[in-house]
Amino acid sequence: MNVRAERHEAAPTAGSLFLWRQARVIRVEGAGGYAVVEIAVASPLSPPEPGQFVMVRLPGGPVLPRPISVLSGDGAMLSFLIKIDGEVRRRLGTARAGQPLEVRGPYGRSYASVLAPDRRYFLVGGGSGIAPLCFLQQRRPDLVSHAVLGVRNGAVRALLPGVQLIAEDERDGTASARALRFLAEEEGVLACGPKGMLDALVHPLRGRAGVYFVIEERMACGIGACQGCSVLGAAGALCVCRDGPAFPLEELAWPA
Amino acid sequence: MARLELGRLGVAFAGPVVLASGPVGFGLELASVGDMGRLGALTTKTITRLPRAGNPAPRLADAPAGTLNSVGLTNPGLEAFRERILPKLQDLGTRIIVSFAAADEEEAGWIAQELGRTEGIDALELNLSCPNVEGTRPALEAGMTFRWVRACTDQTLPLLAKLSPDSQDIVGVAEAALRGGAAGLTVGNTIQGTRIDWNTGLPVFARVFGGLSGPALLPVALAKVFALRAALPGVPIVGTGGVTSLGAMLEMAMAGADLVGVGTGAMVDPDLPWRLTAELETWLVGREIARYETIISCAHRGGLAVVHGT
Ligand SMILES: Cc1cc2nc3c(=O)[nH]c(=O)nc-3n(C[C@H](O)[C@H](O)[C@H](O)COP(=O)(O)OP(=O)(O)OC[C@H]3O[C@@H](n4cnc5c(N)ncnc54)[C@H](O)[C@@H]3O)c2cc1C
Ligand SMILES: Cc1cc2nc3c(=O)[nH]c(=O)nc-3n(C[C@H](O)[C@H](O)[C@H](O)COP(=O)(O)O)c2cc1C
Ligand code: FES
Repeated sequence: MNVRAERHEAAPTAGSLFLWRQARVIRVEGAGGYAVVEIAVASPLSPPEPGQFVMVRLPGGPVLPRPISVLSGDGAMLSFLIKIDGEVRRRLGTARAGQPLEVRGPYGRSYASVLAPDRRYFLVGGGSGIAPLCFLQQRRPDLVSHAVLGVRNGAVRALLPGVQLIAEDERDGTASARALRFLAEEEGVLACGPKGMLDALVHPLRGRAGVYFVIEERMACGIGACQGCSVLGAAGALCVCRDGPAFPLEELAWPA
Repeated sequence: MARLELGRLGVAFAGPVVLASGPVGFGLELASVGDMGRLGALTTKTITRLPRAGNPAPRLADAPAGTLNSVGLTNPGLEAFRERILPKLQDLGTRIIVSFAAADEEEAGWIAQELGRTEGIDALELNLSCPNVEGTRPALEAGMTFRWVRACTDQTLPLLAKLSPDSQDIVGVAEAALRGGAAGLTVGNTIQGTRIDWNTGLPVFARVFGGLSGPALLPVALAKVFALRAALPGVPIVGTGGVTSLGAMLEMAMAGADLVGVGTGAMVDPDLPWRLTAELETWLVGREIARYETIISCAHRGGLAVVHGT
């Protein structure tokens, strides 16, 4: 596939945000239960911003497409950090080069459009939730003060050269505990990770300004139409795909 | 596009593809995908008198060849619909079918009258069959269906009764709806289903049961549409359930659907309603069939051989 030629296609129109694009897996590298999967998209998506996700489906896969965060990329080439668990992620995370898939997007509000601009953010990431935070660090270092990105198995480091990871199996402790220890008064917080990680952060951070959590929910449309991804917030339903996935902590009800 | 046009319920439709109630909300997100004027109609998300937040997460689950949902009629309520949403729908250039539900027949009648005197609505759809809210589904029972529909027909808009493939005697329920004054039938809603989380041993959904939609539902919906068409020739039917391809849409029409509802297919693939419309036109041209309308119910009349003979 000639990726360079494809990058010169006309800019996507508004409607094309909703069209499924044919894509192919270019490279898969796995370690520690995760994989970085790089794909080439035949007719490019609009360039994704950090915090945005795409909907992914595989031939013969489930009817409901899966939301996956962008780890890096420009719309013609994208990479993901996939936790090898569950039907679609297992197939994707263990795919061979050439595996066809479809993507549409990018969807969701970028972190830059959600975060209050008057401060810098302490990033707290866990598991596959570190993917969009890595993208933010790479693209918008000006928004980031510190980052604690945690994985269970230190072998994952091989997948993300240049990214500092802490690993539970190397007695580094959890990302949440470490973040709470080092967080300074003036820093904001952007947390993305498993529910247990967010649970550990809620109580100590409640009432503090500039705290944002990224919420995961099952999705169908990804565009704010079906109400399938909605979660009950502090003041009514929140639509994760359209209004999130990052929300100010004060808008969230907890336990979610 | 005269080939696809048809008139039903006293309304002229540009084509048979109707966006089913719910999976695409109020259709506003889809408006940038394609020209809504090429579709038959948009059925709105079901609205209720007061706003509803809906059910707790998770609201979606996989099913083999389908999906389960437990959304629970999340909607902004009648007033917000009329003031903020309906004016935007009027700019879309398609027919607007407003779906509504209520706690009891009296409230349903009140909403129908309110909608009946609102400008810019082509038809109403009474949702008697949502499996995701408290209370029994009126569509499971002929007596209730008659009373609910009757309460909603003291107004001038044509009313579709949305039935449930879960009902034991769907023909009896449909006859009751027609006696109550329904102008047509939408067949139908999702059917009840559930999933269990094998890690906790508990149901996935807080309300235990959800609604099954998507391709898995197609043969069920086809059977109901076929049975209703056999029993009720001439009654307008919107055939809905599992249509995600041209073939499925043709089957639905041939089984007896005048209009074909697309829900889950459009939710996961927003461009699908336009592709189906274009593919149908091409198929008809290829078969030298001058009008879509002539294939409706052909499975009851000797098939396409008879269509070509006419
Ligand atoms: C905005 C957003 C961004 C995301 N980004 C990423 C990302 O970058 N990388 C990533 O890896 N993930 C990401 N996710 C998560 C991912 O979309 C979901 O986990 C998705 O469900 C994975 O699909 P799957 O088919 O792989 O797994 P699924 O089949 O959905 O299974 C998910 C988990 O549930 C279990 N499960 C399935 N059915 C049952 C059952 N009946 N009982 C008990 N357990 C069951 C599976 O074994 C698995 O552990 C993101 C989610 C959101 C909302
Ligand atoms: C997410 C979702 C939400 C739905 N919401 C409604 C609704 O509000 N009112 C209604 O009458 N039907 C609702 N339905 C049912 C659909 O309108 C349709 O009858 C059903 O899904 C079968 O068609 P399909 O297989 O094409 O989706 C909903 C279905 C889904 C999947
Ligand atoms: S996934 Fe449909 S509204 Fe969010």
